Amino acid sequence: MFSDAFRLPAQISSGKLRVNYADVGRGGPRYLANHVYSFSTWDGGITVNSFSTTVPPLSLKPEHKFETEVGLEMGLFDERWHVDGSFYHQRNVDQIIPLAVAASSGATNLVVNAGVMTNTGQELQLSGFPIRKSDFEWSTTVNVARNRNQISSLAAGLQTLVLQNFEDNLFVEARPGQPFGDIYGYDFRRAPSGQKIVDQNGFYAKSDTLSLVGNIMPNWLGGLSSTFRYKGVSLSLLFDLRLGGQFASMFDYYALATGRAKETLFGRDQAHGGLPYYIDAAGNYVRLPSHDAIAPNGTTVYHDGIILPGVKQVFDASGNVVGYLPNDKLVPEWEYYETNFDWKTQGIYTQVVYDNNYIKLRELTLSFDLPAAWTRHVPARNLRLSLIGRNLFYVYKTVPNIDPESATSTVDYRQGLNDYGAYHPTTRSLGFKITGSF
Amino acid sequence: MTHTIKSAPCLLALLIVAASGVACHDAYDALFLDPDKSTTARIEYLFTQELIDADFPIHYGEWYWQVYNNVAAWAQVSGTVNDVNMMRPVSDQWQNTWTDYYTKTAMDIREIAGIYDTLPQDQKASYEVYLHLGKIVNAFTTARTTDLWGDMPYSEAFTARQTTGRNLFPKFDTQESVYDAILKDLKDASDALRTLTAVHSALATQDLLLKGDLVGWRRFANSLRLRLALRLSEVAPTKAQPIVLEILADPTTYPLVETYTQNIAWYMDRTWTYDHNSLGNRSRATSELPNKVWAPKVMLDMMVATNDPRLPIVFDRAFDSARSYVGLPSSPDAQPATVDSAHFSRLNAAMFRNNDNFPGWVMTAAEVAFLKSEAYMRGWATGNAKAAYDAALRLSIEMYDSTYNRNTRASDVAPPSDSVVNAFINDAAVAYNGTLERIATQKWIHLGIVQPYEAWAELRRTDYPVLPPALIGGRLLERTVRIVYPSTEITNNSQSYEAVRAKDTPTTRVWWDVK
Repeated sequence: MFSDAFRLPAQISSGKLRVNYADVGRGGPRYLANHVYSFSTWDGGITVNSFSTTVPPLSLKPEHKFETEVGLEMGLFDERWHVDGSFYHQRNVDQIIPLAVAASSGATNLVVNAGVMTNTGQELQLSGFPIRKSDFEWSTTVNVARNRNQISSLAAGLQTLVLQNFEDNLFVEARPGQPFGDIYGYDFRRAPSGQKIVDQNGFYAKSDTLSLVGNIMPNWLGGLSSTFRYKGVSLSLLFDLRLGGQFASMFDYYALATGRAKETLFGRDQAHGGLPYYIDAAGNYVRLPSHDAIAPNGTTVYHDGIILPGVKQVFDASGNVVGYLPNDKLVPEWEYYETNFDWKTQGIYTQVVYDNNYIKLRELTLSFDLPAAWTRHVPARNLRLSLIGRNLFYVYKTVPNIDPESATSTVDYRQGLNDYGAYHPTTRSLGFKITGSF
Repeated sequence: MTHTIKSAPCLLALLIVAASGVACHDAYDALFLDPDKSTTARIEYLFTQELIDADFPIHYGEWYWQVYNNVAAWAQVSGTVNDVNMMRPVSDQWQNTWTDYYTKTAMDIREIAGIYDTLPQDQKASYEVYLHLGKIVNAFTTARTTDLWGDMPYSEAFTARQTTGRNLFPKFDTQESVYDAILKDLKDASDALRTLTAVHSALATQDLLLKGDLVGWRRFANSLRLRLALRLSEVAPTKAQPIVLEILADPTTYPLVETYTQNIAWYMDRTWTYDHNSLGNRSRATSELPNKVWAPKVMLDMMVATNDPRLPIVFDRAFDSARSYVGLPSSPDAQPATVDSAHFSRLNAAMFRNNDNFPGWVMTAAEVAFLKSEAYMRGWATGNAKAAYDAALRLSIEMYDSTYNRNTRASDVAPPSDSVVNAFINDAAVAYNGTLERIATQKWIHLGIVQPYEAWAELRRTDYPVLPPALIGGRLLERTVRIVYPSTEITNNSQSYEAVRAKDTPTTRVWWDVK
């Protein structure tokens, strides 16, 4: 309490400076260090022994987290306002990880102590009473937090640690010198102008090399809570905010691939912007000038043609690319989704990496203090009736179709992705509550 | 109640011990072993695992991706509807092939060898047999791997499970040195089996491939060595010829797979789990890929023109009114917009798509006879090339016929009559004519979609038959002749990879592919 030690301006009613240092150790999961074989039975009752392609450690130390935190708390204007700011630096060393190694070594992973990761962050919280009168009171708390993370090193010779692999096409990785949770994927192939290249078949061409397409960790997290009280009625609101980082939505990938997402409506028929065409004898899609046009020989006219925005390559006689022209190849809408959202081959998974920003109304509570006159036959005092709604709605979000909180998990790298089994949105709950004291 | 209170301190003590266990002190390790697993393995159980990992019948996913989406199209042993991507390896799938080889199949024999070293002296004699059989299987899977990728880590590989001398960044060895190593292993194993005096009692049970038939294993080793030696015919004939001669000049010392009953195959009992039997792998992939299982035009046309007796059991007729045999051309430009069963033939459904009893053919007498014919034709050993070639065709017809009739869901077909078989063998376009083209072409038909990896390797070695180029919009799609290294290897073994980076394209031929 530096307010006890120093004489401070009158506006500062209290002040506290805190400094923490901690070293926290943690072991690995149980049986991690066992060097073991599995027994199983092949058809016909023949016993076999097998072993994991992850090699257990020869010797293992607990991992350590060294943390330094400096914080400042102050009460202002006779404790009407409170400010709490802190700065922390964490250094995680000897992390126990199943290190990915080249298969030619004879294993896919080795469990080792490896890697140094640092987290640096700031947190600021301001709370107080903008209005405080006898009948009406408004109290509010605003907090913001920012975390910056860097992988300082991995094990010697290791260039990446793959945290999550989606169908060998999208990877969440930790690479030295980079923040934890970078997302890499095979993106669109692009012309020097940056436009997407469309291949001979009229679909987007896919790059052969991995590129960095995002990071799953947020830049800023924040919250705003406010309570308004007028006599015996009070209203509380709690908003959550997330800014920065990306979300890899495998749910969306398959919703698009199978035509279940509303984005796939475009081009599906004439009413949704589909272009008219017919299929000629050689199997080419030939565009017709209008939806009423008749195809040669009475061939069926289709109305679900689209022309993907992008450029096509122009080749010279020896097959070199000499230029680019706007794409004019018509393809059926369904075939585009079957191709560019395909399982692996031509599917471009980076299409479902979305910016992950949102503001969510986390909680709303409306309470009434029942007048004592109403409850004089009830053997309780201070009766309060509350209506509570949780997870109500997003005021704003950038991830389409799904609830960005329907991630595989809410911890570490998994907060920024979902797979196929874990896409259920968080549930909205509405309830009421009566409280009293005896 | 009092009982609970009394035991509480014990419980507490237990919790404390458990909590300190995570410190991984050696003394605690022994106390906290996973109760569902064992710290020791038995050689005979690992040997069976090695046979399973060798994936002789090829599993479902590999049929689906590596074979039908890649190799079948490149070797034109199945007619596939192709597009601009037809020459593109399904890299992430090939990564699985690579990883399974290095971390499972090839590790099993290293694990066996490690355990063997620690056996008491009196047990070593009976267990020795597993070392030799394991080496033969290892040679088979290593050859398959290097034939796909070319240079590969080998001499410094496989150390991750060792407690000392671990090398996580093994160098890439040349394909030549890998071939040297496995050719030597095959000779050593064959020689050792010939003189072995004791055999472990569990072998007959654990040996899912040959039920402990050691002469059969010698035939396998020698036939495989013959196959791999001839693979070097173009690049290193002086290395290959003495091996071929050694084997063919001394059939007593080096017996080969010569008859139908000596064929080496992974016979899957129909009572086995779906995933383990032929319905769950080859048949499943064949039925799930209707656009990858058409009759390849070049092969079909040859078989039609020569009245090949295998034709009706290898391909179905198109459903048009004429019930004709029509093959699908491979080049995208030559393929019509609509490929349907009214107009094109498919792989025979009873043979390949519904066959509940298709064995994983590993080494057939027909292939060995083709190898002998080629060796005699080259003058590398003394023998009748025509007789060997004719025998190869007869053995192939017998093998196809019997494979078809193993199916319990289709009625049997009678074997073709002698006159039909003779007419085929003497057909002007089939009869032995002293050329590699004739031998290689008929061998390609024999291996076909039954042994697609071998068909592709032999096509790359001999360049026969001459297949039409793949064109799209008049533009040539360059042939894929090897698989590119998987991204996990490039990322995690980057320094070693630098030495082979320049060669790592799908169009760079492997060492033995010089023709």
